[in-house]
Amino acid sequence: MQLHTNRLADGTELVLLAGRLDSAGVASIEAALSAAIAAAGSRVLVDLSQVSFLASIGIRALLTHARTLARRGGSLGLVGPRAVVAEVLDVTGIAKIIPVFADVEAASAASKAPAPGS
Amino acid sequence: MNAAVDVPHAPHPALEAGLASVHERCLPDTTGEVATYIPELATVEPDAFGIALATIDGRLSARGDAERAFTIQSVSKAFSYCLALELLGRDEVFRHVGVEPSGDAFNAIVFDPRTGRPFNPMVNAGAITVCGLIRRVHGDAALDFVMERFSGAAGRPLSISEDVYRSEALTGHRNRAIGHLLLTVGAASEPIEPTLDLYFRLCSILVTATDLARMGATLANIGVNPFTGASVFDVAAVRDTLSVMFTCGMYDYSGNWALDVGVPAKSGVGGGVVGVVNRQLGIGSYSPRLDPKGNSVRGLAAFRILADEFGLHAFECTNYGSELVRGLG
Repeated sequence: MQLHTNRLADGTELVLLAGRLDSAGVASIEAALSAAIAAAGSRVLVDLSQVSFLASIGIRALLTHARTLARRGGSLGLVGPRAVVAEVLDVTGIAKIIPVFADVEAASAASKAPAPGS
Repeated sequence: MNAAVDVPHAPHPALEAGLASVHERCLPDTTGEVATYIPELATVEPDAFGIALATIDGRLSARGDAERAFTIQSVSKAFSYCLALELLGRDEVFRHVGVEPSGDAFNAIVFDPRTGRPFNPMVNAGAITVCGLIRRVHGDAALDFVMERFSGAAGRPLSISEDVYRSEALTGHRNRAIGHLLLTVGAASEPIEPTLDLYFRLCSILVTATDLARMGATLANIGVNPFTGASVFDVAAVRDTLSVMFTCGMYDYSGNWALDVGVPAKSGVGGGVVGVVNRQLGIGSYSPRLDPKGNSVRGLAAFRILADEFGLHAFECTNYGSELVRGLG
């Protein structure tokens, strides 16, 4: 499992994950992911386009970080999941808890759009 | 009985890959000791390791020594309990054996001080009581009845290891003592020796990890073997059995198991573990090196990884509780 980070022009931290986000994968990137989240600003996007398998332990890790960010007023979004990963996020209802976007542009557009009801 | 499944379904690729990865990761662990208190158990190959996974749509994946025969030992307790519930009804069974975790070792000679009865059917005292209940209905035909049902769950005719049975019967002094104590508290009735004989024989049934996966899948599939279509266990009895497996199935590690793995399961000192994911999977593992609590070292490790990979834990954040409530919209 590989992890790279990239600070976008609008200050969003883009975290790119590659490989299987299973128990071994989570163990190998957990410290780096926690450090990236801690160092990030209020907005983090996790790019899942290179993730071939998303295990429940991986989902738990993503949910934990999403909650951490939410507690400090930020947000975490998921970007570009492959069909098999998107299906898992949908069936488990996680897509209702963590927003999922087709790509970074869609995520940026959503962040600039007025909040519903405002 | 439903029509038999003619063509086995191909294994699910993701489950197949997950099982292969789990086997590879757990294989190097050669810690733990083979059980020796039954002399014949000490003769097994200590480093054998097999794991199998059966789905309720009839798919089977297996790795390693999944076809190696071993004695079922305490794994039989879960299935014989399920049969007793069907034969005598819940209330009558509950009058003789409780459903509370004991926190004691599997061979403890301790009864519930409140009721005077065995704590639960997953410890030896409770399982011997269950054997007495099955004998009360079927008498000397009890063994044939149980073997037929167990075989139905496994989807093939099972047999007994005569060597292990003789070894169990000759050295089962502690279980004999438990049997006689059960007489004094009224949980069992005379004659106790045929009840103990049934207990020893049920512990000596030869199974494989694949058999355990299919037997687990039969429980997962609400009592119907998904490979043969045979109706093997009663619907209400399956629910009660899974509940007791969840709280009491892993000896005095059951609480930790509920935290780490979170599925109903039963282990045996022969090295087998059966796990059930309701309405989805049966999982069987075999590795005879045991930890100090009597559970298979690799079996525990494999189930922990499988639970984390596939969201098997009942309270995993990826799982919904009641599908019925979901269906309400």
